[in-house]
Amino acid sequence: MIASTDDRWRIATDGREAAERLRGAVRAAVDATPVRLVGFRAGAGLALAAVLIATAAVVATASSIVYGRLAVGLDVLPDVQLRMQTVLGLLVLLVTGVTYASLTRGRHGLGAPVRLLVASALAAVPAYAVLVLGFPVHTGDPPALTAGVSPWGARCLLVAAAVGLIVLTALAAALHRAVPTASHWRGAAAGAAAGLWSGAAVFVFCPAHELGHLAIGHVAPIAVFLLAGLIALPRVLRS
Amino acid sequence: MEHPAQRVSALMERYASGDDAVFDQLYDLTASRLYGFCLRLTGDPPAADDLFQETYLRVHRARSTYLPGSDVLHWAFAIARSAYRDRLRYWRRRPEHLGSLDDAAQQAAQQPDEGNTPDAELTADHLAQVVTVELQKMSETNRSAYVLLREEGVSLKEAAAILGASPDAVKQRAHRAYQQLRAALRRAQGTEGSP
Repeated sequence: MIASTDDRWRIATDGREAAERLRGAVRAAVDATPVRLVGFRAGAGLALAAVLIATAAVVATASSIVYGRLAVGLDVLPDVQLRMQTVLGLLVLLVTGVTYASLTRGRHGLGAPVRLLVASALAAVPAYAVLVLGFPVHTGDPPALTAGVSPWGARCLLVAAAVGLIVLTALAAALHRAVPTASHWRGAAAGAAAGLWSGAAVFVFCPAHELGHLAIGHVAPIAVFLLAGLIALPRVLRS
Repeated sequence: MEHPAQRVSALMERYASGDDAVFDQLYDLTASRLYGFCLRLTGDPPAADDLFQETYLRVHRARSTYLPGSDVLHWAFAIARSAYRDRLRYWRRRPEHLGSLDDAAQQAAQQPDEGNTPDAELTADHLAQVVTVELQKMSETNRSAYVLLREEGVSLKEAAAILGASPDAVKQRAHRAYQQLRAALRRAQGTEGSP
Protein backbone atom coordinates (compact mmCIF):
# COMPACT_ATOMS: atom_id res chain seq x y z
CA MET A 1 0.00 0.00 0.00
CA ILE A 2 1.07 3.54 -0.64
CA ALA A 3 1.37 5.66 2.48
CA SER A 4 -1.46 8.17 2.88
CA THR A 5 -0.77 11.88 2.74
CA ASP A 6 -1.20 12.18 6.51
CA ASP A 7 1.25 9.30 7.05
CA ARG A 8 3.78 10.93 4.73
CA TRP A 9 3.31 14.21 6.60
CA ARG A 10 3.86 12.49 9.96
CA ILE A 11 6.81 10.42 8.77
CA ALA A 12 8.51 13.22 6.89
CA THR A 13 8.13 15.77 9.63
CA ASP A 14 9.25 13.19 12.17
CA GLY A 15 6.68 14.03 14.78
CA ARG A 16 5.20 17.12 16.33
CA GLU A 17 8.41 19.01 16.97
CA ALA A 18 9.53 18.98 13.35
CA ALA A 19 6.04 19.90 12.18
CA GLU A 20 6.03 22.87 14.54
CA ARG A 21 9.47 23.92 13.32
CA LEU A 22 8.20 23.86 9.75
CA ARG A 23 5.11 25.85 10.71
CA GLY A 24 7.33 28.38 12.49
CA ALA A 25 9.55 28.76 9.42
CA VAL A 26 6.51 29.27 7.15
CA ARG A 27 4.94 31.74 9.58
CA ALA A 28 8.19 33.73 9.87
CA ALA A 29 8.59 33.86 6.08
CA VAL A 30 4.99 34.97 5.62
CA ASP A 31 5.20 37.60 8.38
CA ALA A 32 8.38 39.01 6.84
CA THR A 33 6.76 39.39 3.42
CA PRO A 34 4.44 42.37 3.04
CA VAL A 35 1.89 42.14 0.22
CA ARG A 36 -0.23 44.62 -1.68
CA LEU A 37 -3.87 43.60 -1.44
CA VAL A 38 -5.11 44.60 -4.88
CA GLY A 39 -7.72 42.10 -6.03
CA PHE A 40 -7.43 40.50 -9.45
CA ARG A 41 -10.64 42.08 -10.74
CA ALA A 42 -9.52 45.55 -9.71
CA GLY A 43 -6.08 44.97 -11.26
CA ALA A 44 -7.51 43.60 -14.51
CA GLY A 45 -10.06 46.43 -14.66
CA LEU A 46 -7.35 49.03 -14.20
CA ALA A 47 -5.19 47.32 -16.82
CA LEU A 48 -7.99 47.28 -19.39
CA ALA A 49 -8.87 50.90 -18.69
CA ALA A 50 -5.22 51.86 -19.12
CA VAL A 51 -5.07 49.88 -22.38
CA LEU A 52 -8.15 51.61 -23.82
CA ILE A 53 -7.07 55.10 -22.82
CA ALA A 54 -3.44 54.66 -23.89
CA THR A 55 -4.36 53.09 -27.24
CA ALA A 56 -6.80 55.88 -28.01
CA ALA A 57 -4.23 58.48 -26.96
CA VAL A 58 -1.44 56.97 -29.12
CA VAL A 59 -3.69 56.68 -32.20
CA ALA A 60 -5.14 60.18 -31.75
CA THR A 61 -1.72 61.75 -31.27
CA ALA A 62 -0.14 59.91 -34.21
CA SER A 63 -3.13 60.66 -36.47
CA SER A 64 -3.05 64.35 -35.61
CA ILE A 65 0.67 64.58 -36.27
CA VAL A 66 0.75 62.58 -39.53
CA TYR A 67 -2.64 63.23 -41.14
CA GLY A 68 -3.95 66.26 -39.27
CA ARG A 69 -7.19 64.43 -38.42
CA LEU A 70 -8.41 61.36 -36.51
CA ALA A 71 -9.08 57.76 -37.60
CA VAL A 72 -8.07 58.07 -41.24
CA GLY A 73 -7.96 54.28 -41.49
CA LEU A 74 -11.72 54.13 -40.99
CA ASP A 75 -12.33 56.70 -43.72
CA VAL A 76 -13.36 54.69 -46.78
CA LEU A 77 -15.30 55.18 -49.98
CA PRO A 78 -19.10 54.71 -49.69
CA ASP A 79 -19.15 51.44 -51.68
CA VAL A 80 -16.94 49.64 -49.15
CA GLN A 81 -18.63 50.96 -46.00
CA LEU A 82 -20.33 47.63 -45.27
CA ARG A 83 -17.09 45.70 -45.74
CA MET A 84 -15.28 48.14 -43.45
CA GLN A 85 -17.92 47.71 -40.74
CA THR A 86 -17.75 43.92 -41.06
CA VAL A 87 -13.95 43.79 -40.89
CA LEU A 88 -13.91 46.26 -37.98
CA GLY A 89 -16.55 44.24 -36.13
CA LEU A 90 -14.62 40.99 -36.61
CA LEU A 91 -11.40 42.70 -35.54
CA VAL A 92 -13.03 43.96 -32.34
CA LEU A 93 -14.32 40.42 -31.65
CA LEU A 94 -10.85 38.96 -32.26
CA VAL A 95 -9.11 41.46 -29.98
CA THR A 96 -11.73 41.03 -27.25
CA GLY A 97 -11.67 37.24 -27.47
CA VAL A 98 -7.89 36.86 -27.27
CA THR A 99 -7.63 39.45 -24.48
CA TYR A 100 -10.34 37.60 -22.55
CA ALA A 101 -8.59 34.24 -23.04
CA SER A 102 -5.34 35.59 -21.68
CA LEU A 103 -6.95 37.36 -18.70
CA THR A 104 -9.71 35.01 -17.56
CA ARG A 105 -9.15 32.84 -14.49
CA GLY A 106 -11.78 30.29 -15.47
CA ARG A 107 -13.98 28.26 -13.14
CA HIS A 108 -11.18 26.95 -10.92
CA GLY A 109 -9.16 30.16 -10.64
CA LEU A 110 -6.44 28.47 -12.69
CA GLY A 111 -6.93 30.33 -15.95
CA ALA A 112 -8.44 29.49 -19.31
CA PRO A 113 -8.05 25.89 -20.51
CA VAL A 114 -4.68 25.45 -22.18
CA ARG A 115 -6.37 24.59 -25.51
CA LEU A 116 -8.03 28.01 -25.55
CA LEU A 117 -4.69 29.69 -24.82
CA VAL A 118 -2.96 27.74 -27.60
CA ALA A 119 -5.77 28.46 -30.06
CA SER A 120 -5.74 32.17 -29.15
CA ALA A 121 -1.97 32.46 -29.55
CA LEU A 122 -1.78 30.51 -32.79
CA ALA A 123 -4.87 32.04 -34.42
CA ALA A 124 -4.02 35.69 -33.81
CA VAL A 125 -1.62 36.33 -36.70
CA PRO A 126 -3.45 34.32 -39.42
CA ALA A 127 -6.87 35.66 -38.39
CA TYR A 128 -5.67 39.27 -38.49
CA ALA A 129 -3.84 38.68 -41.78
CA VAL A 130 -6.98 37.21 -43.36
CA LEU A 131 -9.01 40.21 -42.21
CA VAL A 132 -6.69 42.98 -43.42
CA LEU A 133 -5.13 41.27 -46.45
CA GLY A 134 -8.07 39.16 -47.56
CA PHE A 135 -10.71 41.87 -47.32
CA PRO A 136 -8.97 45.14 -48.27
CA VAL A 137 -10.99 48.23 -47.50
CA HIS A 138 -8.63 50.81 -48.99
CA THR A 139 -7.68 51.17 -52.63
CA GLY A 140 -5.48 54.24 -52.53
CA ASP A 141 -8.36 56.21 -53.91
CA PRO A 142 -8.75 59.16 -53.45
CA PRO A 143 -4.97 59.78 -53.35
CA ALA A 144 -5.36 62.62 -50.83
CA LEU A 145 -6.35 60.06 -48.24
CA THR A 146 -3.14 58.06 -48.51
CA ALA A 147 -0.78 60.97 -49.02
CA GLY A 148 0.89 60.56 -45.62
CA VAL A 149 1.35 56.80 -45.70
CA SER A 150 4.94 55.71 -45.17
CA PRO A 151 6.23 53.34 -47.88
CA TRP A 152 7.17 50.35 -45.71
CA GLY A 153 4.99 51.04 -42.74
CA ALA A 154 7.66 52.67 -40.56
CA ARG A 155 5.14 54.97 -38.88
CA CYS A 156 2.75 52.06 -38.38
CA LEU A 157 5.56 50.08 -36.79
CA LEU A 158 6.13 52.91 -34.33
CA VAL A 159 2.43 53.16 -33.46
CA ALA A 160 2.17 49.35 -33.16
CA ALA A 161 5.29 49.19 -30.96
CA ALA A 162 3.96 51.87 -28.61
CA VAL A 163 0.49 50.34 -28.29
CA GLY A 164 1.76 46.76 -28.06
CA LEU A 165 4.28 47.59 -25.33
CA ILE A 166 1.65 49.41 -23.29
CA VAL A 167 -0.80 46.50 -23.60
CA LEU A 168 1.83 43.86 -22.87
CA THR A 169 2.95 45.72 -19.75
CA ALA A 170 -0.64 46.20 -18.57
CA LEU A 171 -1.55 42.54 -19.08
CA ALA A 172 1.67 41.39 -17.40
CA ALA A 173 0.88 43.60 -14.40
CA ALA A 174 -2.68 42.25 -14.19
CA LEU A 175 -1.59 38.61 -14.51
CA HIS A 176 1.46 38.86 -12.24
CA ARG A 177 1.15 35.93 -9.74
CA ALA A 178 -2.57 35.68 -10.50
CA VAL A 179 -2.65 32.39 -12.40
CA PRO A 180 -0.05 29.76 -11.53
CA THR A 181 -0.50 27.42 -14.52
CA ALA A 182 0.52 27.25 -18.20
CA SER A 183 2.67 30.37 -17.97
CA HIS A 184 4.23 29.91 -21.42
CA TRP A 185 0.96 29.64 -23.30
CA ARG A 186 -0.62 32.34 -21.14
CA GLY A 187 2.35 34.57 -21.96
CA ALA A 188 1.94 33.78 -25.64
CA ALA A 189 -1.80 34.55 -25.50
CA ALA A 190 -1.11 37.84 -23.69
CA GLY A 191 1.53 38.65 -26.32
CA ALA A 192 -0.96 37.84 -29.07
CA ALA A 193 -3.52 40.10 -27.38
CA ALA A 194 -0.96 42.92 -27.21
CA GLY A 195 -0.15 42.35 -30.88
CA LEU A 196 -3.82 42.43 -31.85
CA TRP A 197 -4.36 45.68 -29.95
CA SER A 198 -1.45 47.14 -31.90
CA GLY A 199 -2.97 45.72 -35.10
CA ALA A 200 -6.32 47.33 -34.29
CA ALA A 201 -4.57 50.62 -33.57
CA VAL A 202 -2.79 50.73 -36.93
CA PHE A 203 -5.99 49.62 -38.68
CA VAL A 204 -7.68 52.75 -37.33
CA PHE A 205 -4.61 54.92 -37.85
CA CYS A 206 -3.51 54.01 -41.37
CA PRO A 207 -5.29 53.97 -44.76
CA ALA A 208 -2.58 52.01 -46.59
CA HIS A 209 -3.48 49.30 -49.11
CA GLU A 210 -0.11 48.04 -50.41
CA LEU A 211 0.62 44.43 -49.53
CA GLY A 212 4.20 45.07 -48.37
CA HIS A 213 3.13 47.91 -46.10
CA LEU A 214 0.31 45.89 -44.57
CA ALA A 215 2.49 42.82 -44.06
CA ILE A 216 5.36 44.71 -42.42
CA GLY A 217 3.64 47.58 -40.67
CA HIS A 218 0.38 45.91 -39.62
CA VAL A 219 0.73 42.11 -39.45
CA ALA A 220 4.39 41.56 -38.47
CA PRO A 221 4.12 43.41 -35.10
CA ILE A 222 1.51 40.89 -33.98
CA ALA A 223 3.92 38.01 -34.53
CA VAL A 224 6.68 39.96 -32.76
CA PHE A 225 4.52 40.62 -29.70
CA LEU A 226 3.34 37.01 -29.64
CA LEU A 227 6.98 35.90 -29.47
CA ALA A 228 7.77 38.57 -26.88
CA GLY A 229 4.92 37.28 -24.72
CA LEU A 230 6.04 33.68 -25.13
CA ILE A 231 9.64 34.44 -24.22
CA ALA A 232 9.50 37.30 -21.72
CA LEU A 233 6.21 36.95 -19.90
CA PRO A 234 6.27 33.48 -18.25
CA ARG A 235 8.86 34.47 -15.69
CA VAL A 236 7.02 37.72 -14.91
CA LEU A 237 3.75 35.84 -14.47
CA ARG A 238 5.23 33.27 -12.11
CA SER A 239 7.66 35.26 -9.95
CA MET B 1 -22.82 21.38 8.23
CA GLU B 2 -20.10 23.16 6.27
CA HIS B 3 -18.00 21.01 3.92
CA PRO B 4 -14.25 21.15 4.75
CA ALA B 5 -13.39 22.52 1.28
CA GLN B 6 -15.99 25.28 1.76
CA ARG B 7 -14.53 26.08 5.15
CA VAL B 8 -11.03 26.35 3.69
CA SER B 9 -12.40 28.47 0.87
CA ALA B 10 -14.16 30.80 3.32
CA LEU B 11 -10.95 31.14 5.35
CA MET B 12 -8.94 31.83 2.19
CA GLU B 13 -11.41 34.55 1.19
CA ARG B 14 -10.87 36.21 4.57
CA TYR B 15 -7.11 35.82 4.20
CA ALA B 16 -7.27 37.25 0.67
CA SER B 17 -9.08 40.31 1.96
CA GLY B 18 -6.30 40.96 4.48
CA ASP B 19 -7.39 39.05 7.61
CA ASP B 20 -4.00 37.70 8.74
CA ALA B 21 -5.49 36.11 11.86
CA VAL B 22 -6.90 33.17 9.89
CA PHE B 23 -3.51 32.02 8.61
CA ASP B 24 -3.02 29.39 11.33
CA GLN B 25 -6.43 27.81 10.71
CA LEU B 26 -5.78 27.84 6.99
CA TYR B 27 -2.40 26.23 7.55
CA ASP B 28 -3.87 23.52 9.81
CA LEU B 29 -6.46 22.60 7.20
CA THR B 30 -4.12 22.51 4.20
CA ALA B 31 -0.60 21.68 5.42
CA SER B 32 -0.70 17.88 5.48
CA ARG B 33 -2.03 17.44 1.94
CA LEU B 34 0.13 20.19 0.56
CA TYR B 35 3.20 18.75 2.23
CA GLY B 36 2.34 15.30 0.87
CA PHE B 37 2.13 16.76 -2.62
CA CYS B 38 5.46 18.58 -2.22
CA LEU B 39 7.08 15.39 -0.96
CA ARG B 40 5.78 13.43 -3.91
CA LEU B 41 7.11 16.06 -6.31
CA THR B 42 10.57 16.24 -4.77
CA GLY B 43 10.91 12.73 -3.30
CA ASP B 44 13.17 14.13 -0.64
CA PRO B 45 12.07 15.54 2.78
CA PRO B 46 14.55 18.48 2.96
CA ALA B 47 13.65 19.53 -0.60
CA ALA B 48 9.97 19.06 0.24
CA ASP B 49 10.38 21.32 3.29
CA ASP B 50 11.85 24.06 1.07
CA LEU B 51 9.18 23.66 -1.59
CA PHE B 52 6.45 23.63 1.05
CA GLN B 53 7.70 26.90 2.56
CA GLU B 54 8.06 28.53 -0.82
CA THR B 55 4.57 27.42 -1.80
CA TYR B 56 3.02 29.04 1.29
CA LEU B 57 5.04 32.17 0.62
CA ARG B 58 3.73 32.28 -2.96
CA VAL B 59 0.17 31.64 -1.74
CA HIS B 60 0.67 34.54 0.68
CA ARG B 61 2.00 36.83 -2.06
CA ALA B 62 -0.79 35.88 -4.47
CA ARG B 63 -3.58 35.78 -1.89
CA SER B 64 -5.40 38.85 -3.19
CA THR B 65 -5.80 37.12 -6.56
CA TYR B 66 -7.55 34.05 -5.09
CA LEU B 67 -10.83 33.36 -6.90
CA PRO B 68 -13.58 33.18 -4.24
CA GLY B 69 -15.25 29.80 -4.09
CA SER B 70 -12.53 27.92 -5.95
CA ASP B 71 -10.69 24.98 -4.36
CA VAL B 72 -7.84 26.36 -2.26
CA LEU B 73 -5.86 23.12 -2.27
CA HIS B 74 -6.00 22.80 -6.03
CA TRP B 75 -4.81 26.38 -6.34
CA ALA B 76 -2.02 25.64 -3.86
CA PHE B 77 -1.09 22.45 -5.75
CA ALA B 78 -0.75 24.50 -8.94
CA ILE B 79 1.43 27.02 -7.11
CA ALA B 80 3.56 24.23 -5.61
CA ARG B 81 4.07 22.66 -9.01
CA SER B 82 4.95 26.01 -10.56
CA ALA B 83 7.51 26.60 -7.80
CA TYR B 84 8.90 23.11 -8.28
CA ARG B 85 9.26 23.61 -12.04
CA ASP B 86 11.10 26.87 -11.38
CA ARG B 87 13.50 24.88 -9.20
CA LEU B 88 13.97 22.29 -11.93
CA ARG B 89 14.78 25.04 -14.43
CA TYR B 90 17.24 26.54 -11.97
CA TRP B 91 18.92 23.18 -11.44
CA ARG B 92 19.08 22.47 -15.16
CA ARG B 93 20.84 25.78 -15.73
CA ARG B 94 23.29 24.90 -12.95
CA PRO B 95 24.24 21.25 -13.37
CA GLU B 96 26.39 21.36 -10.23
CA HIS B 97 23.14 21.45 -8.22
CA LEU B 98 21.65 18.44 -9.97
CA GLY B 99 22.95 16.27 -7.15
CA SER B 100 19.98 17.19 -5.00
CA LEU B 101 17.64 15.76 -7.63
CA ASP B 102 19.53 12.52 -8.13
CA ASP B 103 20.17 12.14 -4.43
CA ALA B 104 16.46 11.83 -3.76
CA ALA B 105 16.12 8.71 -5.87
CA GLN B 106 19.46 7.29 -4.71
CA GLN B 107 18.67 7.93 -1.07
CA ALA B 108 15.37 6.11 -1.38
CA ALA B 109 17.01 3.26 -3.27
CA GLN B 110 19.72 2.88 -0.63
CA GLN B 111 17.32 2.52 2.29
CA PRO B 112 17.75 -0.82 4.11
CA ASP B 113 15.95 -3.20 1.80
CA GLU B 114 14.33 -5.76 4.02
CA GLY B 115 12.71 -7.37 0.98
CA ASN B 116 16.13 -8.64 -0.15
CA THR B 117 16.88 -10.53 3.04
CA PRO B 118 16.50 -14.26 2.55
CA ASP B 119 13.36 -14.84 4.56
CA ALA B 120 11.75 -11.44 4.26
CA GLU B 121 8.26 -10.94 2.94
CA LEU B 122 7.28 -8.32 0.45
CA THR B 123 6.07 -5.69 2.91
CA ALA B 124 3.85 -2.70 2.37
CA ASP B 125 6.78 -0.49 3.30
CA HIS B 126 8.93 -2.02 0.62
CA LEU B 127 6.24 -1.54 -2.01
CA ALA B 128 5.80 2.07 -0.97
CA GLN B 129 9.56 2.50 -1.26
CA VAL B 130 9.56 1.03 -4.77
CA VAL B 131 6.80 3.47 -5.72
CA THR B 132 8.71 6.41 -4.24
CA VAL B 133 11.91 5.52 -6.09
CA GLU B 134 10.10 4.91 -9.35
CA LEU B 135 8.17 8.18 -9.08
CA GLN B 136 11.48 10.04 -8.90
CA LYS B 137 12.75 8.25 -11.98
CA MET B 138 9.87 9.34 -14.19
CA SER B 139 9.36 12.75 -15.79
CA GLU B 140 7.90 15.52 -13.65
CA THR B 141 4.85 15.81 -15.93
CA ASN B 142 4.01 12.10 -15.60
CA ARG B 143 4.68 12.14 -11.86
CA SER B 144 2.44 15.18 -11.22
CA ALA B 145 -0.39 13.70 -13.26
CA TYR B 146 -0.16 10.37 -11.45
CA VAL B 147 0.02 11.91 -7.97
CA LEU B 148 -2.95 14.19 -8.56
CA LEU B 149 -5.17 11.57 -10.15
CA ARG B 150 -4.23 8.44 -8.21
CA GLU B 151 -3.08 9.71 -4.85
CA GLU B 152 -4.82 13.03 -4.31
CA GLY B 153 -8.07 11.84 -5.86
CA VAL B 154 -8.42 14.94 -8.05
CA SER B 155 -10.79 14.62 -11.03
CA LEU B 156 -9.35 14.57 -14.55
CA LYS B 157 -10.73 18.02 -15.39
CA GLU B 158 -9.39 19.53 -12.19
CA ALA B 159 -6.01 17.86 -12.66
CA ALA B 160 -5.87 19.29 -16.19
CA ALA B 161 -6.60 22.75 -14.79
CA ILE B 162 -3.95 22.37 -12.07
CA LEU B 163 -1.31 21.13 -14.51
CA GLY B 164 -2.20 23.56 -17.29
CA ALA B 165 -2.65 20.76 -19.79
CA SER B 166 -5.51 19.19 -21.70
CA PRO B 167 -7.45 16.36 -20.00
CA ASP B 168 -6.31 13.93 -22.70
CA ALA B 169 -2.66 14.79 -22.11
CA VAL B 170 -3.05 14.40 -18.34
CA LYS B 171 -4.79 11.05 -18.77
CA GLN B 172 -1.98 9.85 -21.01
CA ARG B 173 0.74 11.04 -18.62
CA ALA B 174 -0.92 9.36 -15.63
CA HIS B 175 -1.30 6.16 -17.63
CA ARG B 176 2.38 6.18 -18.58
CA ALA B 177 3.32 6.72 -14.95
CA TYR B 178 1.00 3.93 -13.87
CA GLN B 179 2.54 1.53 -16.39
CA GLN B 180 6.04 2.45 -15.24
CA LEU B 181 5.09 1.87 -11.60
CA ARG B 182 3.40 -1.42 -12.41
CA ALA B 183 6.50 -2.63 -14.24
CA ALA B 184 8.69 -1.61 -11.29
CA LEU B 185 6.43 -3.40 -8.81
CA ARG B 186 6.47 -6.53 -10.99
CA ARG B 187 10.25 -6.42 -11.10
CA ALA B 188 10.36 -6.02 -7.33
CA GLN B 189 8.01 -8.95 -6.88
CA GLY B 190 10.13 -11.01 -9.29
CA THR B 191 13.24 -10.22 -7.25
CA GLU B 192 11.40 -11.21 -4.10
CA GLY B 193 10.22 -14.46 -5.61
CA SER B 194 13.60 -15.51 -7.05
CA PRO B 195 15.72 -17.93 -4.94
